[in-house]
Amino acid sequence: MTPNLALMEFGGGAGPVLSVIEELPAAGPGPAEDETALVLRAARGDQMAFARLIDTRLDGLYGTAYRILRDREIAADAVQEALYRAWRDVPSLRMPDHFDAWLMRVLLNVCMRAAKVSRRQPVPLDHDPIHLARASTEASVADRDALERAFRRLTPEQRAVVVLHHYLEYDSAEIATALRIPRGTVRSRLHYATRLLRAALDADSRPGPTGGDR
Amino acid sequence: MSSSDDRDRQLREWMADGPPSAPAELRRQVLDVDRWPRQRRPWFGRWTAPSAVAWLPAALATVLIVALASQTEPVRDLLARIGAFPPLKTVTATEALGADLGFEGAAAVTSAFGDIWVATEDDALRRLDPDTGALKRTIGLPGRACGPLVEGHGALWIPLCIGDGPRGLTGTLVRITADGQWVEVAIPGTASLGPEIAFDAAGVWIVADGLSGRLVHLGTDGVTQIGEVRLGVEARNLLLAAGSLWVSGGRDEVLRIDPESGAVQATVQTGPGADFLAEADGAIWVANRRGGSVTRIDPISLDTVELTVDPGPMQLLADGGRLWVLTTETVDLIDVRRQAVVSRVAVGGHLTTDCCGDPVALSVYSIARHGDDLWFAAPTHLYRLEVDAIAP
Repeated sequence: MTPNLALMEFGGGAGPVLSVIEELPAAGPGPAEDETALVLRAARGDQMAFARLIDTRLDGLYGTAYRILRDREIAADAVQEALYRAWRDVPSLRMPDHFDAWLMRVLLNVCMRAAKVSRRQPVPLDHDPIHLARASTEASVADRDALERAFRRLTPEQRAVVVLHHYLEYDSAEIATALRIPRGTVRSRLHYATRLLRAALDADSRPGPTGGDR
Repeated sequence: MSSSDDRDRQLREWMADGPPSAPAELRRQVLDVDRWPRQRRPWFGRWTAPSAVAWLPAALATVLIVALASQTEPVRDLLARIGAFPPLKTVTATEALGADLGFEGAAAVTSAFGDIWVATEDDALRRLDPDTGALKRTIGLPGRACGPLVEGHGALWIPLCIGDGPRGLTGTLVRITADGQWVEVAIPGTASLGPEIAFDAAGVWIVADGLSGRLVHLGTDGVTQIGEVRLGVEARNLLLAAGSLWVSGGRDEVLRIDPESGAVQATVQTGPGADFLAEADGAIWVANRRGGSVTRIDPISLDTVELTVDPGPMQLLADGGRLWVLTTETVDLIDVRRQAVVSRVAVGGHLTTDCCGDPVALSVYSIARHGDDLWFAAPTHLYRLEVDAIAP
């Protein structure tokens, strides 16, 4: 992955800018404004600049949070909290060109904490019709259920590593930087988590009743 | 599956499947600038640094005046009420245990039977010497701890989460005696939330089904059922205080319940996401998980006061006249008499200066008090800090 992948992931699909933002006084140049300049303006308290930054990144952030937390409502809460924290702390950001990496780290911290909390709560498997239709052409519903259950048995830290690797395609060095853990820890978490997820698929593909390890 | 490549492909396809965009409601909320918190500005950030020399004498004089003034109670109260106090206090952990003791992540910690007990991510419970930090015993558990460890009726009670239930994760409860013997508490029905517990003289109350709000009352043996309450609304946490059972629920409210009849005596509105409950200084305190606040409820008048804390308050720890509030990144200390946040601590350091200028501190999952020390369970370590190093 190139260092710019985070920008690619989060830079597309600008959603509608809402009225609450449109009512703000116009500030600075238009949408083509340099991202670093927007970060600098946000750090000086320019709400419009920060709104532009997060508006373009919201889908990517939500997608990442959803994949870690596997629940839409909890993911939305996590993204909301992460963005509030980001606004609060952006004046402390010393390297504006690392805004995306920093924002990702803020989100991951919130998600891991939320995952810890959400493990206490029941989360129905994601069985909406759109996903089932897609799933039927790519993987069986049973496989998806097996993966869902296995994924939820992972610790929040393992989930984060799996999502960063398999969804955002970070390498181990980038994951280590994002999570502030040693590379060896990244590799061990990824190894254990991947082994568990593969085992879930293997168990699911075997005939007869399936059963988790507990 | 015929090969690991196929399995990896399946895994990637499953991982790629998800909502294509953020919900419109989320977009509306996060772009609503009125909801944004006040920005936290560093004293010597990149923009102020060039002029720092010119401002230094005035800044030093201001700091001196504020420091002296803040030692007087009226000024401290005023500063606390307007949110200008306290400044974030950085505490660098003096001791990080864990790696040397053979575990990586600490999920929960408590003080019981004169020792420190740590539930770790490898489905185990470890008993540590509170003075030396030495490992005294490791006990295997049938699942991962997913709630606070609570001592009561001569035992340590541990909520566990176990996968593969009919509705995803299910909860169970383990009761451990001081000699390390444990039994799984047979909760009638299926605990669909990590079982929250509260003790009274007769036994223990348990949230047996959080979604439907079913509470069961078991004897001290954790086996004999002596009562049951069906609320019909979501129940997250419960507390026995002021002669009543207090239950936080999914409608941003706390219910006051008569433990004898099960009747709801009152409903108190809180901040968003009412969850953890604690009693401190004769009042009921509620952590509003989805907001950045805690609510104080007067148990007699039911009047409420909402105090702003760092976002995501989770665990509350009553400690004499203090209330420790564990949030996502910090630990806020509330003086319950003044009803004000008097200290804010970032465990493990804050505003670090690595590659990204990352201002994120260490997450803390659980907090416990033992003697003069506070113990923090964190994703990678177990920290021990002296209370005097944190409290003002």
